[in-house]
Amino acid sequence: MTEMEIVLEDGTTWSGLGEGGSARGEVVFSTASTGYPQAVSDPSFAGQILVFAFPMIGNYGVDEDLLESPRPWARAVVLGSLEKGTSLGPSFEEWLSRFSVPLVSGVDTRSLVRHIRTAGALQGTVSPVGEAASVPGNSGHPVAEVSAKSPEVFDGPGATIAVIDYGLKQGILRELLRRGCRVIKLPHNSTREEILSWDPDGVLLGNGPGDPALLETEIEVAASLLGAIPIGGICLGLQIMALASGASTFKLTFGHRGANHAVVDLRTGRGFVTSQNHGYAVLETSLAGTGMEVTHRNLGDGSIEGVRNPEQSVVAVQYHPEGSPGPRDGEEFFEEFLSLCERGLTR
Amino acid sequence: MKTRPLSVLVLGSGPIRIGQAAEFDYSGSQACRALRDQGYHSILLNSNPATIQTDTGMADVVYIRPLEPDVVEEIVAAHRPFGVIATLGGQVALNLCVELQKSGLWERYGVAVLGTSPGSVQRSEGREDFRQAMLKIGEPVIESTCVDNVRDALSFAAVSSYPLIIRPDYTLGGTGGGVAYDIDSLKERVAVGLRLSPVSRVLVERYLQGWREIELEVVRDKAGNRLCVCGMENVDPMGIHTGDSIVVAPVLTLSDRQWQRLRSSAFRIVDDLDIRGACNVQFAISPDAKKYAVIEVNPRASRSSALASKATGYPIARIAARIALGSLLTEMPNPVTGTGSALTEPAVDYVVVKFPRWPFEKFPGAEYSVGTRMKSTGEVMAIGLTFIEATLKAVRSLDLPAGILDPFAGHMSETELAGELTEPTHRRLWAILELLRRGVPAAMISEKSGIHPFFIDQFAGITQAFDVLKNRGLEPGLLRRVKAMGISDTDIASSLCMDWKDVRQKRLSLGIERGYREVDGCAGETPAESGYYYGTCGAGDDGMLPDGREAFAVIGSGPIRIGQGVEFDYCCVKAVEALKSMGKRAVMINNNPETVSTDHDMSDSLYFEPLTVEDILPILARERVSGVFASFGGQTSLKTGLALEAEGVRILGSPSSVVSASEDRGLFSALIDRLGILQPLGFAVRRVDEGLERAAAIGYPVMVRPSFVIGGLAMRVVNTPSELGPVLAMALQAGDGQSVLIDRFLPGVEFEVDVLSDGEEVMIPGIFEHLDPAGVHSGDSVAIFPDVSLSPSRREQIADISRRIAIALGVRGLLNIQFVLSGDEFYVIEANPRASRTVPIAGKLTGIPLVELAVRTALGESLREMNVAPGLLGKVGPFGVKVPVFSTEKLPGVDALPGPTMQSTGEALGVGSTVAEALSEGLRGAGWKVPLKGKMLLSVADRAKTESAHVAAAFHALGWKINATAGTAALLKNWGISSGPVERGKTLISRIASREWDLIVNIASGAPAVLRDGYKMRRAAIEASVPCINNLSLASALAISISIRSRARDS
Repeated sequence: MTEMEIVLEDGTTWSGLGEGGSARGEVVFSTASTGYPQAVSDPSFAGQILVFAFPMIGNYGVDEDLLESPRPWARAVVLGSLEKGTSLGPSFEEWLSRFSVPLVSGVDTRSLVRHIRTAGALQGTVSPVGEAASVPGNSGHPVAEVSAKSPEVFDGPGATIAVIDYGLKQGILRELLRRGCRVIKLPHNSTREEILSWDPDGVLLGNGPGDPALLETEIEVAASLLGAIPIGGICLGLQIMALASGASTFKLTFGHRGANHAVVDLRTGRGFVTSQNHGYAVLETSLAGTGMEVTHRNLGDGSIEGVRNPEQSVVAVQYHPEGSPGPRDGEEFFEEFLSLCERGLTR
Repeated sequence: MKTRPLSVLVLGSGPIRIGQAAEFDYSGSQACRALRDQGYHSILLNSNPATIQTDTGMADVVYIRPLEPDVVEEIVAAHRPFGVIATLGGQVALNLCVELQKSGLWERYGVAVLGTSPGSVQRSEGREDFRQAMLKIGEPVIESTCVDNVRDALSFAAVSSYPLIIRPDYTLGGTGGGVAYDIDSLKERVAVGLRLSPVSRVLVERYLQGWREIELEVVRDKAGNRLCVCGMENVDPMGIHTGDSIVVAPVLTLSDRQWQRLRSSAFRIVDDLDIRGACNVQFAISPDAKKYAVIEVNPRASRSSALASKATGYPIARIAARIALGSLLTEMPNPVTGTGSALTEPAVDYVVVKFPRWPFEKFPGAEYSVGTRMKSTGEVMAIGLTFIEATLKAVRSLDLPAGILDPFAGHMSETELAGELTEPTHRRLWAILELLRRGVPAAMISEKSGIHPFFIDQFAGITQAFDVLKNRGLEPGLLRRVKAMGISDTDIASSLCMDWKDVRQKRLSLGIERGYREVDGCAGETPAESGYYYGTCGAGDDGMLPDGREAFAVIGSGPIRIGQGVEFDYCCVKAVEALKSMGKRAVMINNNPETVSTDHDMSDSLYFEPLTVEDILPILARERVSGVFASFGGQTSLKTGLALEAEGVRILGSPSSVVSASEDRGLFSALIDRLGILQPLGFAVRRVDEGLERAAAIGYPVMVRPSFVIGGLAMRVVNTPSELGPVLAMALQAGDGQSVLIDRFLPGVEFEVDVLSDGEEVMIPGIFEHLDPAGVHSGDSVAIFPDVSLSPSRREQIADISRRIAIALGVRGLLNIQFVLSGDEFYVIEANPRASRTVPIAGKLTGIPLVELAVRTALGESLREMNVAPGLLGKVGPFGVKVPVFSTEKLPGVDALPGPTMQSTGEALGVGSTVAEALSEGLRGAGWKVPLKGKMLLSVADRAKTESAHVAAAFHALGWKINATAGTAALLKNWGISSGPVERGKTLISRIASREWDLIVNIASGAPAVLRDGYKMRRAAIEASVPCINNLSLASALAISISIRSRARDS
């Protein structure tokens, strides 16, 4: 074991143990106590160093058949007590090392979480002690790194849905297939024509990592689809949709990452618990004049959790209706989106 | 214009018994507080006087009365509440509510049943209804059938397969349940289950050996919003009652997919049942986690919801009460952080372990097996960063003599140890650790025990740590590591054969200290300021904002066990309230998740920690505590106070000088002698031969008891020298190096007082008179308050003796003194310088805030300054009769014969303007169903036969039919009282079991053979729930009470 350190850009440090390796990225935390393999394999964590607030991680190993992508995307993993369970697959440690993802355990994660909650999500490094300064940075938007490079088709008897892969979670795909859809997974930089060439009944803008405002091409393509076809959005997909409609996004202090966020559907008053993983949110005041209305709100901080534009057959949620990890209490989003696709454009 | 607030009736849960401990005091109290917060007027009904909820500080109107339909009707008629909350008083309240729904009472008086409806309750609790409901929504249940006779059970068995598990309908803590492995045990179990089920129905189902058991605490509102507050995993597999399982939260061995499947299923279930409030859903999950099945649903606050509340900080009962009143989860703020939403699911960044506390040390005859019948009286909870740390802290919190390193398992053979895997007892954890130590493969242990390999590996981590420690000694790095794991200084010391103080010294020199972290329900995501902390070694402290007030700590009483019940939690909570009202900062330290004291908003800060010196000292330093109250949490707390004082902590009210002078029986004896007060002749001895010699000098019978006792553990009346030897040996062992006292045993009537002393003057709120004869532990005796039989001069005598003792001891606070009136003289049996079991009763009956006054005297105020008139208070309130409640029906093999060792788990109080009325209420409150006219069985030892004629005559005059065993019948015949004689033996036992008699009076003789015979009778009576009286004074009192009630009814 090597003495490792986590150094944040504000100069604060935490120590732990690991097997070496280093990484640089935004240091974020998740408060979910289950689903560490799904969290780490969620491409939305690309470019980030993921801190688990729950101390015992690794209890049952990695359930490889149920991952969100074939590999871990977090640049590094920071945790309290590393457990070496293997009851559902390889140990977490072994699996991460297979992909050379640095792991630091024995870290006082609570104090790190408490620091981030006030200082905000900061850039930082994970490395053997004393080597922080030499850790190279990342370049480019992580979406390019995690997105599929070419289209992929998943057959099904139902509606054809073009899903834009900005770093798509397997869970979203699973939910669509479970509902009988024929799914066309397309690269993030697909053009309007490429997308529509599959003759989809609807387009779903999926989740993904990073700052949505920097994704200019993707936003443009989304804007060009508005009014042309029913569109759904999940997480980053919602943000892209909002930006495409003329609204703006902002960075949350430390984001929403966990499996416990309460959300209310403003149309029905029904509340439910959701899984979330986002560092940015739509600025509510910027919605004026876009035709977008707020459908869901976070009961914690009041931030936007869902929008729609009935005129243009658009529905989108900020939370993860597919859960994984986390609850699927809000999975009715898929029904709403698919019925929109079924009805076609309202105009 | 001011409108009268709407009132709501809250049903409590009655006396503490196995399967129903303090958790419902916690939930009922929260309900009352929620009602008050919402501007409602709360009316509380509970027969248990030791609870916080029966304090007028909690509810607006309190009825300490039996939880019976007629009582509810009286209350409802008088107050006309708009609604009733029955889901926060356990099964007792829920059953009562359903009964009254059926009888139409609620409808008649226009009382709305708030929260989950009686219809939903019936659907969740009636086994067959529930099974049908689950099948309808496609939730797998376990192959089972509901039967009301043995024959049907057998035909189910013919098409299913053994083993089968038997669960009676509507019983507490699974009473009467069990596993049948063959046709004979099935017959027996079903028969017992049918008898114990109030609706004579049992469920027979396939027993899923080795399946894991997972519980979810779900809260749902009327609009269908719901969250899962906490998931809990039983470390023990199916087949061990969840109340008797080690439980960990959150769930550790399930993947997200597996967990979400259960969570979604639980939500479908609570939706279907239309739960409005708290609900506990239990699942069985197959070893490969591919299959699951719903075990049961409790549509109410439960022991598990108390645990879930404490594990997360989320006050389930309070939120459930708000939901019952119509609030929505989407509208309420998060109850832990104060901001955000009540619908946000708690997230934790620690691990919680619950460990049961069994009462077996009190019952040498009990079967120690742990299975489908719950046997533990209480539990502890511990919080740590890892499962290992939480487990070690939990074991420390149990207050067992030897803790995790108890050497007994080392002396067991491998076969014996392996037996613990398949036929577990309360010692299973220790057996597993020993097997691991001996190198038995974890996989084998897991397979045999049905415990998931993950947990066995965790346990192996404990044994490995001790092994490494033994090999390498106190290396700094290693010390740091084992401390971070949660191993105590004491355990490190004992595994290295060192003094724990040297370990502590070494540790402190390395700067290894505890950090305290807040339980915030959000894993650190948002500031909570809950003031609820746990300690962990080697991790950072969350920090604490300074508070200008002077801080004082109150040491709690730990797990509920026999001799240390909810009454001490009452005293602790009252002490905390008193401190707060005096402008002090109140710091509570306790480890019992069932209690009100561990509600984090009761105190200014709550530390959920083991009650050991190592765990407490850093808290006192962190909080800059000026002094510690150790006299409100019972004996454990008092003992802890002594140890703290030795470390330089200021103990208030009962410093060691006082404690030793009263608790060390040798010292106390000397003091009593000096004061010229009588006491039973006695000697302190440290060796068996010395004891035999002394006993010969005193003369038999003698009473044997160790110093520092809880509930009279190991106290015994001994009649002969041959009996004395072994008893003395046992008592010396239980006393742990302390001397054992041998007293002349004096027959007579016992009295008891709680004295409030400021060091110069005393105030006595009244005298308790015991109905059971001397020799029966005061906690097990029916007691009347204030006394009925003492003359004014005798009362003055008691007051005078009490004052002299209190002043000589220098007590500032409460002192409990017990007397026996033997012949014509009062003898002092013992004095305890602490709040006693009777303090809540004396306080409630007289309206005097005894605990608050005790806190204030300890902080220096005099009785005069507090306007408290000294002396014995005249009778100011009604009469009260305290009736003990035993849980012996849950403990096969245990005799119910009261003696010097306390056996009762709880008590009910009857209140009335006459003793007869109070007694009748008290007995009903304790669950006795004695009709005005009925059939009784008398079986009386020779020494009491003459007196028994009075009792027989009295019942005879009341129109009772009397049967008696041969000798007794002969005597009665001579007097002219006709009684059908009955033969002793098997027929008699089966007649008792078939509930032929409404009342049994059994006065046992001391002879072992007769005791055995009587034992079978008493045991049969317990199993058949037939009231059984073991002393004639209570029988006479009962006759008086019945005659007055009959008269009242006839007129």
